[in-house]
Amino acid sequence: MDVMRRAQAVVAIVALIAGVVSLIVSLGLPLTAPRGGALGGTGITFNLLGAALVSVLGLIALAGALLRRRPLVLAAAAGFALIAVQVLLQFGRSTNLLGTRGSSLSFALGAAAGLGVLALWARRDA
Amino acid sequence: MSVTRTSPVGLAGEANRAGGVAFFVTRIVLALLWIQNSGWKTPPDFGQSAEAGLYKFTRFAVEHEVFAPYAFVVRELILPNFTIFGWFVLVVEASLGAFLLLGLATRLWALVGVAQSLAIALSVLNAPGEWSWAYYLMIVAHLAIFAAAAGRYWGLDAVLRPSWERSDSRLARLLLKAS
Repeated sequence: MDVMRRAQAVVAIVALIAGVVSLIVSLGLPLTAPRGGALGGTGITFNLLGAALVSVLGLIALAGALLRRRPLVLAAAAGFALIAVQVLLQFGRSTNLLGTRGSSLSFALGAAAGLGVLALWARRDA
Repeated sequence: MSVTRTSPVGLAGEANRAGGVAFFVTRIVLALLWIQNSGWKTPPDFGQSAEAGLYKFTRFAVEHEVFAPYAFVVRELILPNFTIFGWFVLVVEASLGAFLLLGLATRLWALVGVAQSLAIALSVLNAPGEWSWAYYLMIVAHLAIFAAAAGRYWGLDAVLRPSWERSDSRLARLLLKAS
């Protein structure tokens, strides 16, 4: 596995782990609770819907990295970018569909930028 | 009895590896600092109506002045336009967490971290109950990862710099400087 794909896989695995742990800590909360379960001491929060979405996006990115399918990695990056937009629109408001806050914005931005830049530069290199 | 000897070259290699691990850990800890602390900058008013949160800490720059010109800017420019300032702080701190965690354009973001730490220090250094060394340490830690180009240790800068070096695009040249 080349270094770009390995880096994509690492970012995807971190996102997947964050999603799965968030799923576990959000069990018992309503699906779209405005305040999600906290991911340890990081301040990152997602409710069940948000955690499921993060897990699925992490899986898509990992599949893209392992199967050399750059569009899958880019799709996952776009998904994380949409989560970042959701935080900007709904954090601090009564309706917060993914149970996010500012720390979740940081996480989603990192996943989007990391996967996006790796996939785009891999294409330029090719 | 066998004696294990380490050559000078081996010692230098071990020191380099230890240094790399230390810069990696410092970068990740700083990223987590910003990730966690972007969580309490809460829109839409960032604590203005309750005189709490980011608004309270920003007002310390005026109430417990550290540097008169900075207090003037906060009083005359920032507090009257506090919502815009709040969004700016949230986006900058969330981005600091994201990019330092990735190790992407690390030197650029380390400098942003120095500036943000300095701004926080100028706001709260003289406030009651604050430990001033925390802010000096934040500034120095960001300077250290800037000087070490810490994204080159298990960061995306290390992965992408070879591609940027091969490319003759303007963006690649900018990213090389930022990493």
